Amino acid sequence: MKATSTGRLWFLRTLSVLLMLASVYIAWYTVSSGRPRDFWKEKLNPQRGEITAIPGEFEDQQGKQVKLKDFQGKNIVATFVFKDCNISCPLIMTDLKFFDAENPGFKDNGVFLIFTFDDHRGKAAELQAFLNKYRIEGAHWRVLTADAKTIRNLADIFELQYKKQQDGKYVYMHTNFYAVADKSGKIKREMRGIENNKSKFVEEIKSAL
Amino acid sequence: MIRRHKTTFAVLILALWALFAANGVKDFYFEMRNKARGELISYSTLSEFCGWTGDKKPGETDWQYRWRGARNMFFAVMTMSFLSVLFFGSVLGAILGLFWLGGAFKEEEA
Repeated sequence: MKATSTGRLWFLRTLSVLLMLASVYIAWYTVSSGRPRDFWKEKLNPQRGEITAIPGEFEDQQGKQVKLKDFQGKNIVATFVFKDCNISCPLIMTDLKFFDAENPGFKDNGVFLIFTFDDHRGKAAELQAFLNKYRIEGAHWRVLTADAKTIRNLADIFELQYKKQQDGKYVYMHTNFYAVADKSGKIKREMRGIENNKSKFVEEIKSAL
Repeated sequence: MIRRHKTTFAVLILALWALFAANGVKDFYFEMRNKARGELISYSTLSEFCGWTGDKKPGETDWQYRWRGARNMFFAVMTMSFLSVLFFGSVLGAILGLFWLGGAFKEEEA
């Protein structure tokens, strides 16, 4: 009887130590990569850590059907925009243009993926006009659109908020977000918000690749 | 059994508490780090932060939104309370440790 009680006691003690160790590991995991990482969400949803593993069919500004795994082997800088947003999206595009200008070598082994929050399938010319508006050229710029469900899934993976309200004119609200992935598709850095220090923005992307 | 092995059960409860709290440590760590660097946190761009659930996502039902909010708040409370106890315990431990080193807990000689 006493042996059983002692056994239970040791089981509880061991369990306590294991739980403590697991807690320390989880806490370390969430802060260890220079960005907040949600342990449970990433472990339960590994796509969060690998952009090229995210499923879905997308259409680019030339009307081509692409999948994200097609971009494996290239460094990826991804962001999300509303095509007609005139609030933060021009800032996002300017930031990416600045990075492109500062890193001329990026176009050879990298690609900018600009996802639209809205569904613009079948309107390739509008997506091309979006790039033209920012005087952007080059095959390393891809504006990708998809059906609402695919976009929602993608936004959920990165925990993005987006909303379009019609209040006399359209009002666009969304998370300003950049994801940087290496050639294997692994997300190395996530950035939220607009960085006012542009050289820091460029350095953060460069150091992640 | 619990009365006789209070320490074991206290540590077990603390460990369970720590398990619920661990995932929220990042919110405090990055907020403190940003503040220490003089950077501002843009709360409006964070989708979920320390119990704040943000807006309803497109297509999210009321039930899903409330559940997400409740879950976020639960884990935020777990983290805040655990870290408070941890910091408070550390300070208390340090003070009592100093007393102990100074001999305050030794039996006075007759």
